[in-house]
Amino acid sequence: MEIIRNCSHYSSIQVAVKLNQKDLPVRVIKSAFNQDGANTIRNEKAGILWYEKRLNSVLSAVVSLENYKNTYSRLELIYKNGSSGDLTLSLSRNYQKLYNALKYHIKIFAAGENRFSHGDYSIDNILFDGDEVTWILDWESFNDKLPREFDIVYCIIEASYFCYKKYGTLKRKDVDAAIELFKFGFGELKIPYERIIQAPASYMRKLFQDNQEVFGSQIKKYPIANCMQNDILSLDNFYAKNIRL
Amino acid sequence: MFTDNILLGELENRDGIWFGPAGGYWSNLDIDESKSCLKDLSVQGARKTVEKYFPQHLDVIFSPKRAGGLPLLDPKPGEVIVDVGCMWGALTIPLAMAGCTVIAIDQTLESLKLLQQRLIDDALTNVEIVCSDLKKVRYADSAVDMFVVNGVMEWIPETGTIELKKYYGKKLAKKNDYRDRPDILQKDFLQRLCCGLKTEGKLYLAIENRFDFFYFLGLPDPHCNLKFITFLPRKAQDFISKIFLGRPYVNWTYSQRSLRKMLMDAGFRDISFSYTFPNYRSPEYILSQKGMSFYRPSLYKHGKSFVIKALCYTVEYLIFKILRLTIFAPSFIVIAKK
Repeated sequence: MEIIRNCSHYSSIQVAVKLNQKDLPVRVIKSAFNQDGANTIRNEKAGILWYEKRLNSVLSAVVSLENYKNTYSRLELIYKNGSSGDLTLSLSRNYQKLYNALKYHIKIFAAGENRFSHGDYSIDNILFDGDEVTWILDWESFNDKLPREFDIVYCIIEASYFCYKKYGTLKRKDVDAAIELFKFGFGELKIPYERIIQAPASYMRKLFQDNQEVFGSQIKKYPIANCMQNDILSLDNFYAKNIRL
Repeated sequence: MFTDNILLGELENRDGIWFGPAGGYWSNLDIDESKSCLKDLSVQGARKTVEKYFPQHLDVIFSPKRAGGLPLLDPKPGEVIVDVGCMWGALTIPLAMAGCTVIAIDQTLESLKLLQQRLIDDALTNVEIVCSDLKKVRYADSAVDMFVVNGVMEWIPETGTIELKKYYGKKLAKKNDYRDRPDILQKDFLQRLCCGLKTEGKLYLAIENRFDFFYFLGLPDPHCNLKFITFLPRKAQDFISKIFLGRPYVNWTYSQRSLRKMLMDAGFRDISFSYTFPNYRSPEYILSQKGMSFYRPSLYKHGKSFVIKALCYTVEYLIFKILRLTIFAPSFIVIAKK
């Protein structure tokens, strides 16, 4: 067993992969030895099962879940092939992946009376074949308490944030790409977006602040929820400066 | 009490702790520091006491990262696990959370008092605490499902009082007893564990690699704080240690090959090595040889300047990611069966 993540991003979960005889990964195993982590793992299982139901999936990715009281969990999943989105690329270069991620999100989450959110809908947590979405990973923050637009705003603003941190700026073409994404995502949800894109980073931050109890200690893992206020203001400024409605 | 069936010899229970043959003292804290916090433990609880008296050790004691290697053991509820040299319970608590029946042994009473309070705070009743010299504990034959030896084997040859801050790179005021060869003591220790294991029982052993690549670049030996000593021949280690510390070099660590041989000599088989990065205490990656493709440089983050970081990143990438030279990995976690 190969332990590839140990309580990273302030979580309490160890992530391991099991290799087959040809050294190819076949299973993902998530373990937690405390209450916080064990709850998260059980939540992840609930999220995956919900997702598979939406997909009408016949074979479940969940192999097994072991629990001891509420203090230990071990979840074994089928390993999914594919490459996740790369947040080190600029927002404009990630446009197609982001667009497809939003389209996929709307297909899975926006139908009917659904009130569920993924809670960490980043292209980093999505597997792609080329630019096409094949699978959503990391259902640890799956819940039914967030506003409908949360995942959409998070997906775009997180990509904006990483682009800004990597390149020190958001170029006009990046802002244009983000606005297109807002228009598409909010249009599908039939929510007005014009006011939000005046200061989208602040809006995102407020969503986190208003829903702190939903995330609990997991809130530490979100860069946008924890970055300096100056970064939020800078992001908003780039939007305000380059916006062309 | 399940300890009765597993530990041999006279044990006396005082205030919820079993006492065996007295050992020395080993702690990151000086004896006075350790004792000073005891009066607050039962009133404030373990976490608040640590925050108040030694906040610098908060992570060492409470971080879930410390249990990074436990998925390799795949512990099951009800299994009997002995945590040898448990100290403040970095692995005892997670194992108890997983429902295992844990015997936590250490020779430092002050550390065990803190562990005792942690168990009360977390309402864990499946742990028994034993204060005893680790070298003198005797186990019933085939009684234990797993032994956990996390950063302990290299300290087995040491005796007496070890207050780590005073021990690092300094001559000890009082000479300890160094009559026996370190490897003889360590092998004897492992043999006793092997006898105590049930058939198919497992040993979890975490220890530094004697040939950690960064020792060659000047990383100090974490046991004595001397540079360029760990990978030298044993006689040279002794010679240098006697000059600078006035004592022989006893914290013997091993290469993968030597460690495997020692474990086999002690009676273990099916020995599998995992390599931990940046160390076994707070690992980010724990990979086998065939899993090295998952490795990402992680040690460089500890570098103090950009130049050092860049150099370390390059070295790590080359040595571990490209060449997969695990003989130079920082430390090992070994799972061995009886």
